[in-house]
Amino acid sequence: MRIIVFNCGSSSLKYRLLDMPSETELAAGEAERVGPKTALPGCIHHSAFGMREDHEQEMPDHGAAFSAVMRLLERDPRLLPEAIGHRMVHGGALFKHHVVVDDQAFQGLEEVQDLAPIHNPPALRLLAACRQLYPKLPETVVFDTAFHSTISPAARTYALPLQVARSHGFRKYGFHGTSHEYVVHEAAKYLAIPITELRAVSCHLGSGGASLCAIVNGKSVDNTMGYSPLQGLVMSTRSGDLDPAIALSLVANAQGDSRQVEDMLNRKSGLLGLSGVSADIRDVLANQQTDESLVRAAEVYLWRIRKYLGAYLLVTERPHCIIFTDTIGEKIPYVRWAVTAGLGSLGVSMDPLKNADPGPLPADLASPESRVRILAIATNEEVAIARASYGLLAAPSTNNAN
Amino acid sequence: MNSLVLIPSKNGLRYSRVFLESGEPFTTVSGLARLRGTAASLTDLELALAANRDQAIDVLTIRAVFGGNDFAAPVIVDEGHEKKLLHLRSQSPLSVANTTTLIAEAQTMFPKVPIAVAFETSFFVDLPTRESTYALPRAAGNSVRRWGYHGLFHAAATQELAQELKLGARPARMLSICLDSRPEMAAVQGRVPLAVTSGSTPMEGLPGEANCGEIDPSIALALAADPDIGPERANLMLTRESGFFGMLGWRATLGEVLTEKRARISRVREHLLYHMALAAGSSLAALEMLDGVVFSGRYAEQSDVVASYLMPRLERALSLPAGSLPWHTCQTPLDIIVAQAGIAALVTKNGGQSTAVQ
Repeated sequence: MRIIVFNCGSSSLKYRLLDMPSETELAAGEAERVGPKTALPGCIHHSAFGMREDHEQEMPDHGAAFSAVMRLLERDPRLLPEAIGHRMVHGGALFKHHVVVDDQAFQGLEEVQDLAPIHNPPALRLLAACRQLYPKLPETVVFDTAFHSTISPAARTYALPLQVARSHGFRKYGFHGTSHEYVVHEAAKYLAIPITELRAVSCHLGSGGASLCAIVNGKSVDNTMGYSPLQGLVMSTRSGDLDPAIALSLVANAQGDSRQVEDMLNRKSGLLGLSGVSADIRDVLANQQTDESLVRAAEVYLWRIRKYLGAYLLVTERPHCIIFTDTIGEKIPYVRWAVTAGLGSLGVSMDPLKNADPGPLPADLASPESRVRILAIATNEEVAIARASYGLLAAPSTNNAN
Repeated sequence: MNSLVLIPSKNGLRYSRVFLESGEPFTTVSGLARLRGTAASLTDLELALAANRDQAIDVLTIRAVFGGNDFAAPVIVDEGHEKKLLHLRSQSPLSVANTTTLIAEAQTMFPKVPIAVAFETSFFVDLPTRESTYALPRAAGNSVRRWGYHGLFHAAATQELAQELKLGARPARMLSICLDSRPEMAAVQGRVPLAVTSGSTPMEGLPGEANCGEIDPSIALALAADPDIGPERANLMLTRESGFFGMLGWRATLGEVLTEKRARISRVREHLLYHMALAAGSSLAALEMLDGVVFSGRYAEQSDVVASYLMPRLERALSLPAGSLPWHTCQTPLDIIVAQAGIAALVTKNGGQSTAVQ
């Protein structure tokens, strides 16, 4: 089955056409500058069977981008999708599992779109366009939050007044589930451990967002992100954990303007706020000799990862492995080293040479005596979405089991 | 030597007269003075002490929550300290106001008695920057930092444990768990804290009897933006109506949460213990190894409940045989710890001499 996977950004549309279940990539690309007109024209970078091409064109919305991508694919009958898989960041409490889209599911998606105001609405608009233009193509939605539906009540509950928590839907949802799920399955394969037995700490360290996930028996039992993707680690522009009293004090200082504070905590804090110059840990690490605040920014960033790593090493009870993935996790040896150094008493010991040059991924970076293996695994969210979509469409009896 | 100890609490002013002679410390007079406004707040205390007029007071020690970076140790109050305290008001208005008011009243009531102040935050003045810093833009972040709010308990408890461990010159690496109405966990190496669960205020950290503990900051913003709630009401809700009270719908002490069998309380206990396990794991990562665990606080007697949950997990994580990781309960009550701090400050100031004042 040929499944095209769409990963919708606020002004971009990534896609990948995969033949399932072989997971062979048939075509892939990205539509850039989707939305209002910018200084440069919109462009689709498209590749199929090893051939690359760029197509400049106006794409006022994600529906237009989708139509343009489909026109490129329709030139070759071998590239006609038989199903569409969409990524949705937040499924809320309504969607504990991925779904095949029908009218009822679509209505539910409309209800949860405000839970992730930056990510969910464009994905929903794309979905609507797909349903209108290709009503006969089956479509699935794969939620980042669904993998975390197994987080226990003790971990997902906030100690808030019960009525307030219920009425506002305040609970830990967890994010990056698609990536965590993918690398956890890859780790089980690599270590030849049944997924139902795997205990791990998965570190999705992106250049933007980042989260750690505690895995027991192949399932998520905790995630550093919470009700929103703001909680947890220090990220490129997000503060991560913060005393709620500080958040309220900032609102008071902003004359009650919560949106202004929300914008500051999401877009002007984290590494950018600490360093004052860059939101990217690679820049911060590379220029430490120039500015004391960069040293402090790196220390705070790494320390937060290390503390959560320790927390999850404890609650997963002697995990088989730590997994590093995504841009920073896969490519920056210093970050992997700094957050695991000195944890020998917890069974974690890295081989510095392997860490410096892991070779092709997946790779085991642990020293031979390390009880906990330290893996670097390239994440592949599109394959994860295609796998989940194929699973839903190949076994329709379990569809829409919310 | 002896100290009259004053500990402001939400119910009033706890007072006690503590004697630190050779042998075990003991308390003669203790009680709770009702708060009736500033001028009259010490009336009950005065009445209680009337019967003990024949006993000289060496030092009156006030327990203060917040002392900021300026107070790294207990002090015998002088004009310079009072000025510094006034400057701290913007950082912790309520706590500092309580302290300065109490100092003024104590000076009026006991004009000839040296007045000491022991600060909960002193223990955390040297918390490493990586731990104390929030990832905020400089303009917003420079004025806030992480503190711990049970420093007096942590200091006393870790000192006791370190003596028991007998590690010689090597600083002990300890997990210090204060079981109080706002529980707090600190990772301590020797006498230096490396990590702590509380935040810029005691609102952050482990959930307590009424405080929410760690939550997604987006939740605080959502509550502040809710037209039916707003920032001030949200602050009150997260400080006084959350935690065990919020989850249960009725007020329960930490002691009750740790010991009662009712199903709803069990769920709250599970929540608390799970978050303690997370904090313990973070502390392990901060310390790199662990020599022992020490419990203190008002509910230290219930430490076995927490220990039975945490110790096996810590031992498994550290690949230690079951039952081999030492843990200890520090039973010393807060008033004695505060008295010790005040007397130590007096002795330091007088170069080892003290003058008792009637």
